[in-house]
Amino acid sequence: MQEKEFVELLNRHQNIIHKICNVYMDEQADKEDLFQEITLQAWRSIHNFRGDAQFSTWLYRVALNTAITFFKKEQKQSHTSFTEHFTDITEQPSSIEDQVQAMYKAISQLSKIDKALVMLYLDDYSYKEMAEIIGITVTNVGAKMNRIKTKLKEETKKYYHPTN
Amino acid sequence: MELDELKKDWNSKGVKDQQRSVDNIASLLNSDTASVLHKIKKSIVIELVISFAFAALSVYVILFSYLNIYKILYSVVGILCILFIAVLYFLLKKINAALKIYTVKKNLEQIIHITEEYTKRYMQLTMLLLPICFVFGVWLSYNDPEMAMYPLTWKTVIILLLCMLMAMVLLYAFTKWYLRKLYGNYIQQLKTLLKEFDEE
Repeated sequence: MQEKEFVELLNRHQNIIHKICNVYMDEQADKEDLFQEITLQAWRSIHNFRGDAQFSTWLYRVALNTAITFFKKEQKQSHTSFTEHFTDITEQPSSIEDQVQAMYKAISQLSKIDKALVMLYLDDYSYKEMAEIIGITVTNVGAKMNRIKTKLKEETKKYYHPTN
Repeated sequence: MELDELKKDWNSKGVKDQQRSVDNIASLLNSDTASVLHKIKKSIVIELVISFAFAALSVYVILFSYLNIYKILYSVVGILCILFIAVLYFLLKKINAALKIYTVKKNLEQIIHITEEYTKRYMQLTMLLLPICFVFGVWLSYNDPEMAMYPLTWKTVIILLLCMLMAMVLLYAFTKWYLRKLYGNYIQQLKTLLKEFDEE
């Protein structure tokens, strides 16, 4: 694949990378570093893309592999920017918006592997596809997702305090 | 709120204010990578070039030197270079295979395996070099009548051996610290992640 063709393809699917950067990194500079790293890894591995899978699925795999093995020397705990990019407070009633923000905050507390599963789930990948991308059994994906859903429900309550 | 209820928000809004231009994406393709495997690959390629250069130098000395001691010394250096080249080539092949896109779990396993293998071989080759250099250093000095250690006494041999042992201990400690600083925490973090896959 030529560079121009690759760049245009990546440009069309850059949302995937942004979503992953927002979930895995808190600071803007770290997000930019991760975006750059994922783009670079995708470009270096593009010769492995055979076209038997969708480009978006292939890119998801590259991006997750890169994000999970990408460590910053100092990881600051700030979740403001994570929720910032996914929500728009002017569009939803405040209680729903608060719940959405609380859910994103809860997701940001998950481990790297759990975050990967949640993202795939939110992007409507089936358990079978998730198992193929992550490299575990479908049963294991199901068990993990049940645990994650319960955990997120509990954690969301910590961050959401409805005011009557 | 349930996770399923978030799907609507996740898929409808996506990301805002983060879209990059085609030119911006294209400019990223020539930047430096932070990938450990790529960094190790780069180091291996440099080490391979150096090993080939020393192997060529060894052949030259063996063929054209008039002194037997240099011929013997460079024969050992040449053999070491061949050993280095074989180990480095083996590692390079493994890295190239690992750079294919696998599942997240397999990718983690590959990175851990290769990084551990690289640090192990690096340690072994470093520790192998010191005694060889030391023995040949002493031997070359002994064969030089102008050197102070001529003739070699048992006392000098013991002092030299003690010096070599001390140097080896220091080199071992330094290399271990250096490798741990470079890769130790990273390997540990990846191993912790890997354990998560088997948990339900």
